Amino acid sequence: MRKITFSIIGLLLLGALAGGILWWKEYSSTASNASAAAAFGSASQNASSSSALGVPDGSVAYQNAHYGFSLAYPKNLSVSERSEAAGSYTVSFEDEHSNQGFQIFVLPYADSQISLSRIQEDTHNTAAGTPQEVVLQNGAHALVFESSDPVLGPLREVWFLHGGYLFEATGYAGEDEWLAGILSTLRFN
Amino acid sequence: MKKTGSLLFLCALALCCLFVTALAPSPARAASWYNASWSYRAAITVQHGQVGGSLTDFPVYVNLADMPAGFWSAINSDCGDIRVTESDGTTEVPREVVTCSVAGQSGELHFKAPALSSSSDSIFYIYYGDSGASDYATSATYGAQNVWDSNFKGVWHLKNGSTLSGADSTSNANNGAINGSPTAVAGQVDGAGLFSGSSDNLAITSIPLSGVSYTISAWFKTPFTNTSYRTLTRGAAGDHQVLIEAGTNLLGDYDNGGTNFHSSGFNVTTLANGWHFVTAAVNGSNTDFYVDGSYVGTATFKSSSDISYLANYQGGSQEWEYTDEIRISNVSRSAAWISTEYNNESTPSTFYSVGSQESSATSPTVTTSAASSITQTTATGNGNVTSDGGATVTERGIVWSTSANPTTADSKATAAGTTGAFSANITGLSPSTLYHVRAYATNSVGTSYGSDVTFTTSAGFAGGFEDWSNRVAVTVQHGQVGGALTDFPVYVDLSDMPAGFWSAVNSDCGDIRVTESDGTTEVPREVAACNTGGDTGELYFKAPALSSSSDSTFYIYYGDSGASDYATSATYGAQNVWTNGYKSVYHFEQDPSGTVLDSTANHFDLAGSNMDSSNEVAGAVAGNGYSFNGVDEQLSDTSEVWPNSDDQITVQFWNNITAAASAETNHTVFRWTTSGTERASAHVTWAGDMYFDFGTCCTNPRANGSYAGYTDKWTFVTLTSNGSTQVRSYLNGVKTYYNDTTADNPNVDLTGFYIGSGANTEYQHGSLDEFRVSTVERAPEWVATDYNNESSPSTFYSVGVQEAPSGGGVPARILRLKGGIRLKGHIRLF
Repeated sequence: MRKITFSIIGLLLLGALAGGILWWKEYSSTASNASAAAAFGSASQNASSSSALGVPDGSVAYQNAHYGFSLAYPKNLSVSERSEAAGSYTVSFEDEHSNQGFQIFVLPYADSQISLSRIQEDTHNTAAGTPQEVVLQNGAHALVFESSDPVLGPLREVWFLHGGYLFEATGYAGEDEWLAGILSTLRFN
Repeated sequence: MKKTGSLLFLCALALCCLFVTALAPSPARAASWYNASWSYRAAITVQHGQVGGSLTDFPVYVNLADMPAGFWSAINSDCGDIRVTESDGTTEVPREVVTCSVAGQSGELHFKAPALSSSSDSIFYIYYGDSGASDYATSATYGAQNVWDSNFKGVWHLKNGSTLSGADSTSNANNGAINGSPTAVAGQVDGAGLFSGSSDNLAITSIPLSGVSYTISAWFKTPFTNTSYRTLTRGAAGDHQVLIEAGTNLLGDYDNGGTNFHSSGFNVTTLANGWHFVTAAVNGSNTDFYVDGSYVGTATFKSSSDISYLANYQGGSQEWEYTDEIRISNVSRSAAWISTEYNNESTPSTFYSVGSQESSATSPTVTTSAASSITQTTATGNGNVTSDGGATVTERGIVWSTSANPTTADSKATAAGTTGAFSANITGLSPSTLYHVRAYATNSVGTSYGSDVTFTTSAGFAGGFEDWSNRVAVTVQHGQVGGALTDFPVYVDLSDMPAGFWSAVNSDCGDIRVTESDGTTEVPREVAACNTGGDTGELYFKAPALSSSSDSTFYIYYGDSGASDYATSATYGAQNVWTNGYKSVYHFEQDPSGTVLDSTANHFDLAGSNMDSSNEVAGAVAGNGYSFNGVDEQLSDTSEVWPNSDDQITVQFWNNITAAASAETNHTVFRWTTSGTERASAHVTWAGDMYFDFGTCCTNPRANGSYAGYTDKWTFVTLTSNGSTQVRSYLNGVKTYYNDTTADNPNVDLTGFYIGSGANTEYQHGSLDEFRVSTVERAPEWVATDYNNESSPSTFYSVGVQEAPSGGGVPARILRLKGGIRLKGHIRLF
């Protein structure tokens, strides 16, 4: 009897421990997403939109007429563009000699909301925590969350819709302020 | 071991080279600029081989004729803007402009070199080109007097060869009084004096020599005319410090009242004819003599009296004759100093090298702004010349390339103007392509570029329309189509086009292209009218098929500035819209005082009689129409021949008859005619009724009846004959009158075609538009479709939204980041 009691208690403790780990993982990811959200934008619904692209010192303007956006990026980054399948497109900005870089993947997207299935598909089910909604400086509503890649490691995702396209901005986790600074210059034509 | 030694030797050699290179002065190394107000400078490099030793505060003579090209056009007229600095380009030194002739491009300049070296060249800069600058006062810090340090007791340049001057350039102001009548002549150092009169001399304030050393130098010229004593300097009642003895021609000095002449042992007659440089420098109680910078002997006497006269003995008859650049110091100059003076003044252009003219200007400052108005093939490049660098910008613009950092050797577009923001059109681009753009500006110094800015052109449409920026779908509503029709000319009122059309289409709408529903299969089209100012126009295209059971979609492409209108005879040109039995088609869009064009390939163009632009009726059915006054206005082609037998015919037009005249007047809309009664004609109206005859006048077959209710408004009239048994008339697309039983045709060729009259009679009183003749009998469903299309085009078709090229489908994301240093040491498979 005592043996059975210990076993039950042990199982309960084990279950509690496993549940705690899962809760902590979810909580920490959500907390991380919430913290990152503050860097990328405001929760305000009244953020203004501007089409003027200011190019800070040390930055270079990037414009894409087809997908209708522009931004300013640090001039130490190299730009690489690639037309992907079925009208989608990737532009990456990367300094191969440092930790800095990000990419924007653009795809035609008819829906008015970003679907969970899309997030799961494009992050290979690595999206963690509850995506935080922010309003970028250009007025776009964006989802901010974490994902990961076996090679690149933890990633920061900032996704938003505009003009019939889904924009997936992806940078390295831990560089939120750097990426947020660049995305703050993003404007739509 | 031997190898190691060789390596060490090579290393040492390399280090030596580096060391020497580092030490060697180089005018090419940009020195700071003295003052931005001065536009130019030239480097003066004193050759170390011309310098006898290390010298300080040495007065360097510069022959201004040696200055580089541009000097004389930039310098002030008195050369007063000349400034001289040391090698750093900014540390100023005193200078004296003795003479300056811009017209003669000559002049005499001296500046004080703080140091000259015999082991390395010494660089100085002469600045010029500041119209606002004036000469320094002689006593100023960098003025003439300070070229000559306190050791100099007198310096007499004897000026410019035109007017003799005895002015002393030192601060002692020991200006010589000219006695006798010496003349100004050309000298060794610019001007000189010729003291050839027995009483010619310069009287100066006495320079005492008691207890001091001294150096006396001057230029003289051989041979002498005077064979007596020749005195360069003498005291008021004392010694001759430099003289040539009578008879012997020996150079020496003279102890007056004492030991008399002391010879250096040098005979001046041994000199070649010409200018020579003599220097007497005290050496203890003796005097060393130098000629042309070299020691020639010592006179065992040193004067202790004074110097009061130059170029002659005050008593006369010891004239020194040709004299230039007399200098007296109260120190004994070294042999190095003396040889350097000689080198400098004898051959200045060898003593120094003169660099090319340098400008204070820099290349312009340019910034590149983001490109704008980006299409598939064009964009607007933007830049700003924020500074011209001090020299006028001669060209500016935008350069672009698919590679980074384009230059003017790549594609470029220039922009007018010099400074400030500007734009230039970037053309000839390819769709969906990343381009690098830089603004640039050029001045006399060079070309500068702004930063490299990139943009990607828009994607293009497929099927040969990559260069078109937009398209719109035009969908013919099946309910508007009478039946299955082929090669039907669809009219599009361009005012129905969507927002954006008029800003994208070319000014003549010549870039319009029309395709079938696949977006690629092109069909012929005619732009009959286009007014981008009024956003109106008249377009026709040939629809290969229209259906009454399903809508038919076509695409109208526009927005390619590089495209032009098709030739009318081109495959997709105007004429090929009208190939399905059309004999002639008149849109009435031209001024009828000229040629009224037939849009078909038959060229049955018309000429107006008594008609001009006042006959053009705006806002007719399709663009403009023509009004006819019922009196004498008509259109005609008197040579047109209509075959006479078994011809089918369809004549269509929009008629707006004047009601008041309708009941009284015999209005003939058209007539083919010949002599007699053979004709094909229509009276719409004849005293209120309408008649259509095809054959012999005034008998059957004819399609006639009341026209009541159709006046004072646009009515679509169609008249057909099958050439055998049927003659029909349609009003607004509906068969109204007909004769389906009696055949008739003109029995002869009908020569001459008239619109608006019955061949110079029975004139039309009203307006007509869109007149078409076919050599086929159009079916009722064709006629009805025509009417629907032209009466209410916006109902006949729907117009989609303006489309821009875009992709489709939903791809899967691929991370393209390479990972930077995160991946160093990792093996990547791509």
